[in-house]
Amino acid sequence: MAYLFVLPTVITLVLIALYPTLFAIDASLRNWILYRPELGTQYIGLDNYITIFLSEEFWNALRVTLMFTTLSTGLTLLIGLAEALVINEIPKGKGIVSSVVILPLMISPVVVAFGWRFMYHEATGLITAYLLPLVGVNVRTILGDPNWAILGVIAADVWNQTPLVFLILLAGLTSLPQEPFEAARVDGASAIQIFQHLTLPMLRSVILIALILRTIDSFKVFDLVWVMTSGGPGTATMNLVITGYEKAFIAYRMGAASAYGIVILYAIMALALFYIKLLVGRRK
Amino acid sequence: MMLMSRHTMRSAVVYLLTFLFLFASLFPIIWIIEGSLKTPDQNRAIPPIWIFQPTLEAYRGITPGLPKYFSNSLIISCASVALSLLIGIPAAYALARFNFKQRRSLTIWILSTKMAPGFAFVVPFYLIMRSLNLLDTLIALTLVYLTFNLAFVVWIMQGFIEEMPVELEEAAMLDGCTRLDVLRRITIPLVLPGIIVTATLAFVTSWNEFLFAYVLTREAAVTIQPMIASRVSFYKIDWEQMCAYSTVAMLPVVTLSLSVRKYLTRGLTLGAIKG
Repeated sequence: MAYLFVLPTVITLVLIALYPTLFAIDASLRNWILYRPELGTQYIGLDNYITIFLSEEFWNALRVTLMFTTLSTGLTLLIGLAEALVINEIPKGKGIVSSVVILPLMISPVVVAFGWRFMYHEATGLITAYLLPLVGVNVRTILGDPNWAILGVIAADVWNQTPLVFLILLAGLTSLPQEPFEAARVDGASAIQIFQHLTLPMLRSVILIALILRTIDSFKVFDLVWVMTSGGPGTATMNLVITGYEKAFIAYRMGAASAYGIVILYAIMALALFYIKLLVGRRK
Repeated sequence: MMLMSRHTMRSAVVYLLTFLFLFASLFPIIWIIEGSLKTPDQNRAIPPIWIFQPTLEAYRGITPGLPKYFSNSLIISCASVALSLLIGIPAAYALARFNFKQRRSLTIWILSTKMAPGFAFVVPFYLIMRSLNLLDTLIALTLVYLTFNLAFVVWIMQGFIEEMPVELEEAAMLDGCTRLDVLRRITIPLVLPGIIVTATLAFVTSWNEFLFAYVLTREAAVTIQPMIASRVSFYKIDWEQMCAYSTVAMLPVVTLSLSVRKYLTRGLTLGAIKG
């Protein structure tokens, strides 16, 4: 009976998740150029992978990806933690405040990307033409400047994704036992001491979960970056997924693109395993 | 002279910061909606204009093209959510209630589908749909979203069902109900709030999805996200119309999430940290 209930799910997952994975592994071993059907799709062994690892563009994309991942994950964690700590303190209306604060998470990255481009517009954007000059910073071009573009995209991602961290940490905070905190207050511990020696250690595993989810999400980000900069200017925001995307749907090299897909898949699996080891290690 | 107590100070800071977080979360959304109601000159004004006479000009401009994209998004999202609930809830029930050997590996498998990068799948999906002549059809996207949603539904519904007391189900089975009856008549009505929030979140994911929609559609099956994205990439952007398109694209997800807000935070949290 149990199998009967699970079977439809297993069949669906095999057909539309496992089969495409195997298909991608197979394609990554072929020379498959979509607009040259006369060449066929012959096996070329690991050539696609070797080409990737020997290319300048891969190492640049990896650098961009790591920078984006580190900054976006770090900032969402810090802001999300602050948000959760503050909103956990308000005596009334926690529910309604939370449901407003999580709205950015509900909005599609495409719309987020458009909204931030609107605010970054060189001549008339709210941020570039009004807010930044107001505080004395004169950077008119954000997305068109190789140094600023990635930071501009990260800001939009942080706005979009912080609510996820907020939610996870708020749930963690609400489930903490009250006694240790009362005892610490009776003993005269300061707010900072309580935060450092009680709250933070007790939240460790929840923070780690937020860290895993955010790292993986920002490692594989595509839509936000594509709509904001398409990887530019130059290669300033070309992350791994965008590089792979261009291989597939601009150059139509399906073998090379599949190899990129598999490399990204394995990188994410490695990240997930590393964090899960860390999580299990902490629990022991 | 009155001294502010530490306590009052503290709550003043808390309220001030809460206000700041609320403002930062809402502002870009409001700015886009305002942008859709302004004239081009009002949108270009520096310093920005906060109070103005709203105009529906931009919405008039987008009305002719919009219904196709909107209904494509709606059909694909609803169909994939309905299918994933139909297939996923029995599986979630089995994972929550039965003890079988492969349970753990199945859970891990579902979880890994959730974490896998979409890009690793978009190339094989494109090639498979191309050889099946399914590119630019509603079926192709519905199938893709079914993958995402199914893993999500099983994952999150398992959590909701595990929280339900098992006694009622046992009593019903003593009265001669089959497992399927139990699922239909007892478990599903009891976890209905959970199902609603799961459906909402799955709908939001499908409605907002871009990569697959962009790659697998050309003309007939284009949904609202790739339509917006392709217009943002134009050299000259019509900001008023783009704001109007974006507002329309945000409308269903914002309305839905506010209307189920009581359960939404729990659903989202459960989806993220269960296990």
